[in-house]
Amino acid sequence: MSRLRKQLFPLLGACGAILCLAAALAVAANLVRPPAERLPWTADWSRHLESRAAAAGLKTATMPTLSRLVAAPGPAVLLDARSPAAHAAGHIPGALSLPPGDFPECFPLLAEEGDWTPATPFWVYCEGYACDDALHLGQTLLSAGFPDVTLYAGGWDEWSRHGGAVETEDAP
Amino acid sequence: MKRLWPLWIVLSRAVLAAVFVGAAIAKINDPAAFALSVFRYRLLPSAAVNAVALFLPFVELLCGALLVAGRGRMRAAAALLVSGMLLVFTAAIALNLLRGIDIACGCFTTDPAAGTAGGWNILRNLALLLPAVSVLLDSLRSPSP
Repeated sequence: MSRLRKQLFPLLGACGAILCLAAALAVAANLVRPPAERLPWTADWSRHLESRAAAAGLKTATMPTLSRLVAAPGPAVLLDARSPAAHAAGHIPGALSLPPGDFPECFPLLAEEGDWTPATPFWVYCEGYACDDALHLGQTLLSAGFPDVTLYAGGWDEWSRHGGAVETEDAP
Repeated sequence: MKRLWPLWIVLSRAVLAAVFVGAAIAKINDPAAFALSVFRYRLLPSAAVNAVALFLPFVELLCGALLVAGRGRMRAAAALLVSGMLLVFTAAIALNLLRGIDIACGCFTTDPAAGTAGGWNILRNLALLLPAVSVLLDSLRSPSP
């Protein structure tokens, strides 16, 4: 025990040396990257789409979780908040087109047709991290009394670039 | 058992080094994607996310290298840091599982299509703690250079 105690401070010193060297390497590596690939040392992540979704009361999900949902569809409803033209050109399998601007007209019809209730889980997506149409659609669903809303923030961009299944014909 | 100990230590060092160097390289190659993984854990203040995403992979890289090439105290320090990181990563994953937040582990890849963090990641980290602690104890027992 006393031997361990004697070794403690030199050991912590060695840990400090490793951490300092790691910090120096991190600074150097970030400096030698091409400017476009350089990561700023601080950023305001509170403005990220997923932070705003969490603040609004929406759940967020990753691509593998959505892939499982698409592979084994259950009661969940997947809504595509992009334009009808973008939806027609290609969408996540099973997604229904519902841009937030069309909500007042289209949602009651879709809800009646699909027999949606406040217990129905909804998943929403749009182009990706840079668009907030899906967030707005999710917030509208929450205000309309549908509390179970999940945002797939990576959206169409992430899904199509990383080999997600694609349905090209328009949803009925 | 005594005769197997040196073999266990050599194997432990090799496995831990491979795991940590492999994990570091994927993160160093794509810091923006790793920053997104760090952010998704929702455990750090917003302003600290990028700094951690830039710094952490180099701690992993150095520790991995020192587990193989380091001696005495430096190897012990690397094993101590590796043990600490494994504990922190395990706690972070467990906390998000309890909170029901769906995230990718971000451990070995920043690919968004890679699997979500789950019980398997916790078991793997806990399993890696055993060799890490073994190397730490072995390095503390051997004389420092």
